[in-house]
Amino acid sequence: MIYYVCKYTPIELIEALGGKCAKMEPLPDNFDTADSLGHPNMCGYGKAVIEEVYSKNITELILVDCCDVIRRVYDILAASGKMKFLYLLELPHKNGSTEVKLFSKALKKLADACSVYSGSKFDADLAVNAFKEETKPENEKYISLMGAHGGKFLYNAVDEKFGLPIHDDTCTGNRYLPKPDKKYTDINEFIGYYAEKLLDQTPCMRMLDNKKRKRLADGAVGIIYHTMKFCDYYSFEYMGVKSNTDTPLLKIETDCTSQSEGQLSTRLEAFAETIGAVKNEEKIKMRTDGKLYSAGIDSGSTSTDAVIMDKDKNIIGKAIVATGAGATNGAKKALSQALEQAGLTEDELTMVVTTGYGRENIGFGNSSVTEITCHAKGAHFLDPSARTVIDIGGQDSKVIRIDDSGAVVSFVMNDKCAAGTGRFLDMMARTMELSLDEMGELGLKWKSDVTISNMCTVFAESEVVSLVAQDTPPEDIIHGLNKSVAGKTVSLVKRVGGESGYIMTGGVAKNRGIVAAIEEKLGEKLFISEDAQLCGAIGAALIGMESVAE
Amino acid sequence: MADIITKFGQYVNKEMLNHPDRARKELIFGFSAFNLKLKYSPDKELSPARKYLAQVCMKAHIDSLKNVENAALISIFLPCEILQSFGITPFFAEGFSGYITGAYAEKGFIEAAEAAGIAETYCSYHKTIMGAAFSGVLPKPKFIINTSIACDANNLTFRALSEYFDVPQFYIDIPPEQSEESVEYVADQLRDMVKFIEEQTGKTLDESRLKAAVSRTAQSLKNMDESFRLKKNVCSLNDITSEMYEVFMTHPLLGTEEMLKYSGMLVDDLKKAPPKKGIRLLWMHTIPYFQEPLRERLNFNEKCQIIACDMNFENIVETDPEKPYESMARRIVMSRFNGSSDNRINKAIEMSKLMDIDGVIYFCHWGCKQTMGAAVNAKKALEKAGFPTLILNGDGADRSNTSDGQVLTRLDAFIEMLEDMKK
Repeated sequence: MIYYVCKYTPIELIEALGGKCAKMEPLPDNFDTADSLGHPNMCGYGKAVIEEVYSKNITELILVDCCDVIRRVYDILAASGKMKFLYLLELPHKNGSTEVKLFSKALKKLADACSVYSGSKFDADLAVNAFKEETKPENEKYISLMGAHGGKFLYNAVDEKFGLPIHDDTCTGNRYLPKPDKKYTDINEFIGYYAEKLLDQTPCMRMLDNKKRKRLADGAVGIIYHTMKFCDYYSFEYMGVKSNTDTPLLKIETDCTSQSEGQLSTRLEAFAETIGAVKNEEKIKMRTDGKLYSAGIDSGSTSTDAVIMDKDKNIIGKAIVATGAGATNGAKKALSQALEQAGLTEDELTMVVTTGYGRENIGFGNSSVTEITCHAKGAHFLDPSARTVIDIGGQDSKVIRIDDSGAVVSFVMNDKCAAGTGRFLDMMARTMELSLDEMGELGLKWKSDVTISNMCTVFAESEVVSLVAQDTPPEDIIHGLNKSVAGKTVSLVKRVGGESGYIMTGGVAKNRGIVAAIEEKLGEKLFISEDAQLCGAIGAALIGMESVAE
Repeated sequence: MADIITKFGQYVNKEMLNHPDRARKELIFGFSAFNLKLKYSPDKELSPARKYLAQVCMKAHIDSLKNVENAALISIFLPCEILQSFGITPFFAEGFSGYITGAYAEKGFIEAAEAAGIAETYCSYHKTIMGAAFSGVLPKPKFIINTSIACDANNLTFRALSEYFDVPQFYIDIPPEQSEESVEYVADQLRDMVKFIEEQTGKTLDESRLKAAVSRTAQSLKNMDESFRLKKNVCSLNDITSEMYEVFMTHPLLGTEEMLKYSGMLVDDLKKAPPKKGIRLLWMHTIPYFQEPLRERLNFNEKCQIIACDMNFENIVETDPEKPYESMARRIVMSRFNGSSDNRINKAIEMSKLMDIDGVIYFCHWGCKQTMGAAVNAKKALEKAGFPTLILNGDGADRSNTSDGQVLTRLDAFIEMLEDMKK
């Protein structure tokens, strides 16, 4: 089996030569091999290809000269001595008549190499049969998955959440070639036809003339834009798509592993909720025994919060407990504390809505909703004039823009790394041997303005260590850290187009140093409710309440 | 001095937020002041050729910054003899970024690029030039010409700037295959480039001027070739900044009278230099010349110094002034930075043998996937050939991506290791 990665791979030509092709779908657990043979700062996809070759003992692979990383993946695999057939196909950056001729020659060279390797010859019937009859569907409502390679994993993850067809418009998708209208018996004639068609596909970002890409997501109901760290081409395109489209847009970042499945699922679900394209949306069952109490449980990475509301939307019970080892236990504990405060038993609850990372793992509850939708609802409840919600949680930071009814207009979340999250602060506090509370207070007492230039948790830690070694007062270091978190947060605010009427929620809202730093960067005060940490749970309880009231 | 420049950089960064045009004038003023220093109070330890080198590069940079509106914004691998023959100033993007870092001002430019949505993992040289455009410090150039090598960033930055400024772009695709057919293809694109410039400027190319420029290139490359041969036996104390200046000479300034003069002076200097001593290093890729531990350990140090940077010998090819287009095309197609990383690695081995190198520093500049992806292959091949190699991660243009402490420990340990091996 000859594996390939790029949509410009001449699959039909290889099959006309008797070969069998399969698209590589790597999903490694780690990058140990790739890091040791290449460099950690190559994109996840390039590294995943190396991992796949090693873990599955792949010996036949055709790569295309698509980008710097793939070119080096070829060099690394060529030096490995593992491959029986490894080929790097030259692909021009332009697609004029001269380039079609150049590409034809490159295809002929590849065909010759295949023939030498397999001993088979060009077969005109196989050539015709190699073309699939697929054409890109038109005139349908769909979600466009764009950007860097997503593969089956990402496609399925998206497909699972949306009630609409998904078009795979990523770097390795969107491959539709017309079937030739005649049978070519001569390989050179076939290649002459075929080279032009291959080059004429919707261009990927490395092609010079990429105007056709600007229409790629025309008619889409929503765009899910996938980027990868160290993938130059698609983070660049994202910059343009973001500012030129009116279509709702969600940016997601993965590293081609399944490690961030939880984060991914939250973002996708929240986006589906925002654009009204949730799959299999079930109506919540109503109970009609007269009483109406709704509970919201927010199962976060650090703490689990529970809120109980009566039918007049009064909070009659609340609790914040450490999540601990299991989401279900944390949730039970929080709920029972809140019930105790409310003087109720679990049976008396009409609705239990769960949210947060653990929302789907909690073994009870009537429904689950993402924390994006819940925070929006909760923030509107805490402050009806709020238009922009800033939430820095343990694992995630997010900024949500909401309308005057508390519905989500748009949202952004931090990328996979911990930079700018509660976890970042937690690690820095540990490095400085301080508690988070001490850190919150000390951050206000700074004297000299220190700048921590690195946002990466690992690098920032070494900067902090150096500052400690230089006897810099902890107050000043903390202020530097606060400024860097504020910088990251405000850049999220800018990305989402944040508007006046800021509210901050989540555990980090208690950190006065951070709040002051964000306020300074924003040039505006943040509203911080006493119940800031309960915002998600409040939203969940409200959603439960509304579903019953309907 | 560093304190004054730091303050200058901060001032420029502040000014560029509201008065980008003023920020550019301040940059020109700052660079001009530094040029006076280079002219009247140059580093005494520098050889005459390198004193001249610093002045020529600074002048070229200032001239292009003063005259962006009439300049061609180019990528550093573009053969510039054609522009020189038309009398058009090249504004070399990566060179500009290098100077911005030298002025301690890169932070503001990089922030401006990232605020516009450029990924933080993008090459810092390219982020700086994008930031300059987005902030308004860089005015609209007359047009843009770039090549597809040496990295993907060339395919993105220049197209985006062409769209941003709404100025025409001419693009030269360099096939990775190093063959005569590729040379012909690129030569034809260079001929089309002449037509493009003629259309843009209304001027006609004087072919004799082009031949004269390519003739200077031929002699300059011969001089460079000789300089590397001479380096084998001598100790010519140098600083790391000069190695980076030399990259301007061996690329956009190749074909100029100044490069011809410099390369001749360099040969003369090396002929007069004392016999070799100390640890002799080959540096691969760009050099973070601003980084203090590197300056401290490697500038004018008899015990340990950089003999050459591989960017300065990657394009030495036969050049025939009677065939100017083919000669320029051959230089770029046969570039050791084009195609497989083996091209670059094998050249490094060849030159390490030629110059009697003790060890190689392979610098992984942040965001440069071409270089990083080949790091382990390079280390293995170089060490097999007898050249111990240090893979050093850092950033050639952004201070915040590097750590002095980490670099110092690695560099010192490597030098200690090489010293032990030499005993």
